[in-house]
Amino acid sequence: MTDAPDRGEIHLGDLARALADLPWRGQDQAAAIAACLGFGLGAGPTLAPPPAPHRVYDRPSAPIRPQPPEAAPRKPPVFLPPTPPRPVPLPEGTIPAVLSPLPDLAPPQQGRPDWLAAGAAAFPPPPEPRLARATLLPERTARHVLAAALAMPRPGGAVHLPRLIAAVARRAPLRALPRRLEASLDRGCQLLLDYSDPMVPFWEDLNDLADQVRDLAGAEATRVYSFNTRPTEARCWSPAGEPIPWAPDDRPVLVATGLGIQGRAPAEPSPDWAEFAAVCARAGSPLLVLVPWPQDRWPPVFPANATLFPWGPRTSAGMVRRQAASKGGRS
Amino acid sequence: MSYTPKYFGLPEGSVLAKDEAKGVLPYVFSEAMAIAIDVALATDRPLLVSGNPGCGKSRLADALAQVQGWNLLSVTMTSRTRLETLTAEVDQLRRLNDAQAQGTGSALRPDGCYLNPGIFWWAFDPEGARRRGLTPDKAEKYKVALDYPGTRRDGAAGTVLLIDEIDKAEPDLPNDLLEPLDRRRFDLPDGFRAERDGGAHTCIAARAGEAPRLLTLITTNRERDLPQAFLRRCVLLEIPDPDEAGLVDIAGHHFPDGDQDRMRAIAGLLVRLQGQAKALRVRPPGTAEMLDAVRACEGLGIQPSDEPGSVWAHIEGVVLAKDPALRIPGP
Repeated sequence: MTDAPDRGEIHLGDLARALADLPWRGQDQAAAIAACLGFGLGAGPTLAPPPAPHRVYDRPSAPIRPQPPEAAPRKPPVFLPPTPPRPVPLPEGTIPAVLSPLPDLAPPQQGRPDWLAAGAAAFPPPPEPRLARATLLPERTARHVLAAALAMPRPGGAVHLPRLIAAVARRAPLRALPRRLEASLDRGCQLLLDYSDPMVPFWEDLNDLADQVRDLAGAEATRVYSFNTRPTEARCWSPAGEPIPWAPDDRPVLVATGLGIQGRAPAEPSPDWAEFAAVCARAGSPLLVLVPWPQDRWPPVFPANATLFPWGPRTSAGMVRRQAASKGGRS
Repeated sequence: MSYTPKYFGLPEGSVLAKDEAKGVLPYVFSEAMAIAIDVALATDRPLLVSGNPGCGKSRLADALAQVQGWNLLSVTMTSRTRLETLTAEVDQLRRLNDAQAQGTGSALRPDGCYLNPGIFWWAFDPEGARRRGLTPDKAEKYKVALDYPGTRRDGAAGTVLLIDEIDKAEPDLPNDLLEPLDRRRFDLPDGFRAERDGGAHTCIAARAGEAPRLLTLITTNRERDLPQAFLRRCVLLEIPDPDEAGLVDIAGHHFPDGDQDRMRAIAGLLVRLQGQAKALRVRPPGTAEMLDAVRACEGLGIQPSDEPGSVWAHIEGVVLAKDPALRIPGP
């Protein structure tokens, strides 16, 4: 059996092959071919049509000799001065000139206009350069960390051998194959973002987190709510601008919050968190809390069904799994 | 269209004509589509098609197979789809029950009887998949031969393999597909072998450089990010929403005897709703919805009207403005 070659990722060779092989005409079609392969030729130089294949190694029986271009019939050189432009014919007679006074173009107010006092510049100030900012969950780890946090167990994984062997030993007919639980993101999640004052330094991270969760779990399966200090009052907005209060379903609830931590003192979270955790527990929604502050500032007491994770560049998927396993054996 | 494809047999006028007798639906190919398909065929890479729902991504595979006269295999991804579903899956439950029912005295059926070939097996080795990897004699003896799971055309020189809605699968599945897509091979489950060319093989591979050809077409609604390693192996095609004239043209090919004025009115409304949906960030109606609306109007003999409570207003609500946000009257 002959295997197909391992072609790997698309590379310049694919582009060269496509451009040499396909009958493109003009810069636009070449750019379209390149765009299909993930290359941009938009700003490049104008491409010439593919040259004829090199014939230096071809040895046909009748060698093809390049023919000289057909010469045009030679003409004697002509040295003539440039022809002066033909003069414009002038009208006969005298044309009467009509002069009329101009309207008064002076501004209605003689004083200094207001806009001069405002100190407006001739050009708008250049925009401030956007500084590169490292997000709390770097791209290289975000996918794995969030998948480890949000993946929920469901039956359908590998065969559960102990149960299978027990059934075979008892000669019991099997109607369904016993399977182990596997982690899945098919339930999506509810994402609650804390836009309270102590979280101001992390507002951009909250926005990044929403994008990262949507990219992972899918926009359709992710519902994003926001709140200010009290998570039970989280809201999202309908397209018509009406607030939709948060209500748990059985999806996991991921909350990004500072738990009201300010300064270096340990937090004293709002009593609202206990009620919020109880609502999640009643609905069967796992509660996951991302906290951007160091662990020594986390509250010493927090509802038991909530799993707190550190939210920072050092957070790893393994750390999240261990934390989740220690809380309730999600695996 | 100024591009003349080399490998793709673009139909006259870039339109696959409707043929009710053969059940062929019309399809309007754009120049971008023709170039992308040609590039995918020239470079032997999968074609990743993105676009809004209802823009004709999945129908492209059907139309392409029809135009090329190729076979069509398709699978729609779900959150339960795994690599084994697409390559080869063992019916463990049936195997176990057979073993228990047969007792110790009688001979067991060959392992291959319990192999369920997935879509990649059918694409790489259709004859082997039909026999579940058994020899022709054994497949006949145990009566385990399968029917082709797609559309088979006589004398087909290739196969179009449609993997529909890849973003509905678990996020890691695209990475699992790299080997079948890239090397066009996959391993059989542990302990299983397939007969081919007189030998027993532990993997199934497409024969390199041999007919029939294979074009894999993968569709995405861009609901979630796909892994970069996967994207870098695909030729990319984005199908934009057609403009009003394009919509009327498409509808005209679907309903050649239809009322053009009515189509124009519905197309105008669709474009307006798409703009509204974009502003409200809700799912916009697509070409498929417009064709449904035209079909309903043609069948019921209804003209679009602005009259509230009219039959058209109901049709508009249930076919075009499916999102409640689009049914909110403007200021």
